[in-house]
Amino acid sequence: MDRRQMTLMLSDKEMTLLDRLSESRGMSKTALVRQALRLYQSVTERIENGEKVFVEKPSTKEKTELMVI
Amino acid sequence: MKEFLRTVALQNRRSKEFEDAQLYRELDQKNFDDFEQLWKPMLEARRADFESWEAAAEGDAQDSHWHWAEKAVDASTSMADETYAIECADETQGLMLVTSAAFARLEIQRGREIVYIELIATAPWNRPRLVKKAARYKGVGRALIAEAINLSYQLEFNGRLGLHSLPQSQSWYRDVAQFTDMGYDDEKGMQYFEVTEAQAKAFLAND
Repeated sequence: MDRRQMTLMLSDKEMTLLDRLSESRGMSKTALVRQALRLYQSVTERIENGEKVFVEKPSTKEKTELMVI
Repeated sequence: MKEFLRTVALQNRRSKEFEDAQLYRELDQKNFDDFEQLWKPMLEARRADFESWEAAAEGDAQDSHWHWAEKAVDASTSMADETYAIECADETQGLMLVTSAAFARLEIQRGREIVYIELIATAPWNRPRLVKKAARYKGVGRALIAEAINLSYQLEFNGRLGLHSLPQSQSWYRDVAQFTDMGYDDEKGMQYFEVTEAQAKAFLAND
């Protein structure tokens, strides 16, 4: 698979979040950013295709529609 | 673009010998043609022996309606989706579609990233219930699942995997592969199985 390199500038707050997620998900920062891209594409394409993406609370079954703006 | 990954061994059920097969990431026109011209006529003929989709499980022909070409084209534009093919004796022996935009349900790994197998199929001539004693190759499904687990490792998901199973495959996932049976999923209308990190390691160790 071809690889290309880029430098990513993040604010302290963004880097703290990346550190925290990397720690809690047990993934490297690179793997985490790649997974974030895959999920972002998956969600935005569904919405662009007219589908709706929901988050459901298991206790109440209350659904909240996920909006990407 | 179709990419050769590695050689895998399939057992020829007739000669009992192992034969080299080629595992590829991404499907191409050859795989689509094999499905349309070789797989589909056999699957549809067998499917016609049964009145309902549920009954077709007996003949291992419940996937006759799967649109591999359409799925593969969609997958090629998505970062989260991957397709795989196994070829042997110049024919497509197995196909698989997976997504990495999925999360685990099993309590010990709930919410963690998994590779989810959307579709997996071995060629109709490899299915003992479909062609009886004439079945050709054994090991196609195992090789494809091993590759899905490999992808899970590459993505740093530590082997975690999920899949829904057609009725005829449930006992293999539960009793042979030793995956966790999470029961019937009403939304999908199929049994749901999940693979933990330990189960993934054990599966590859037995591969």
